[in-house]
Amino acid sequence: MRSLLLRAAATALTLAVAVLSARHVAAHLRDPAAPLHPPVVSAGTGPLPAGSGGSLQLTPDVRTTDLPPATSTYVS
Amino acid sequence: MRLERRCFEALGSRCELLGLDLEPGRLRRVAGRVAEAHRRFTRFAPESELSRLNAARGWVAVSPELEGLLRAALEAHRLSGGLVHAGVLPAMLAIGYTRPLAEGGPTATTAVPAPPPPLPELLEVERGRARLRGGGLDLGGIAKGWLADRLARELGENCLVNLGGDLFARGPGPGGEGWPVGFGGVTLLLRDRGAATSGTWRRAWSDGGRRLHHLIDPRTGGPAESDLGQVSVVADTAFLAEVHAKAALLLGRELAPAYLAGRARAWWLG
Repeated sequence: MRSLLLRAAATALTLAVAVLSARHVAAHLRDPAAPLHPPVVSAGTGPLPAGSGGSLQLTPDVRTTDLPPATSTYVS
Repeated sequence: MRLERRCFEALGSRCELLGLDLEPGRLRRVAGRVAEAHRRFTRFAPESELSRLNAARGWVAVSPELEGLLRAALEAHRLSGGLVHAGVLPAMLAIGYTRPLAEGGPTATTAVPAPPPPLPELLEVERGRARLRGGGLDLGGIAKGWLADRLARELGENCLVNLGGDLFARGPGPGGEGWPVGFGGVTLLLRDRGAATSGTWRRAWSDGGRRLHHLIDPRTGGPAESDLGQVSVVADTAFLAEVHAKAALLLGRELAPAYLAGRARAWWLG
């Protein structure tokens, strides 16, 4: 009887932790301003932070490189 | 491979031509074409071809170059739903932008801005001739991108033409995968693509505590009041990049992404 109670308690605790964790993660995914939200560094999936505080969006057919730029686009 | 580069001032901006294994004399010839375009398209010189069109009422003979650019202005207006509007010269003059800023500050103004009518109501273009029905044209908003596309075809198979930040990268570039181009804090590899940036922080001035700049919103007739300070765009051509960057900037941060999706290959909103 005692071991059955212990198993039930362990199962309930595990389920509770899983549910709470899922709720926590889901809430933070939906909140871009949530603390510790990781920056997204990928092409075509959403805005990512760029050098001067703006947001950059790339479609899959545009690639970045580590090469030094030959020239740049800028406001004139 | 031999990389050649030529930098010079024209079109009120810094211009840069780069090319790999170019034919001898090609850089000089294309630089001359930029200077010629400047003389033809500037609104600040009374003897320019554009100034003659602006001054005339009725049909005026135009060169193939000006005809092409005027048709591009109409196309830019259509593509942007009227946001990129070459017929904003009266609005520019109204806010005092009457001379190149390098030659001194804008003149004082008390005029109340008014939105211009749609460009097709102002401008008619036929083969070899054009006419304005009032108002006036400033082609500075589209000329550099339009010209970069054309000059890249003249310069060579593997080249980059950058006219004041509006550029077209043609061919595989030095490393074979495209030309490395600085864009919104990163470097992109561009091959047969254009890029351009539109912003309100250059060519700006203060008039009695009011901040003014050169980018006119045709919906109001006054300087754009956008929550974006700068937009950079990569598109299939420099002309398209310039049009879409300007339109996105006028639309603002909330609407720009939806406008650019499907029109641009990449964009940076700052």
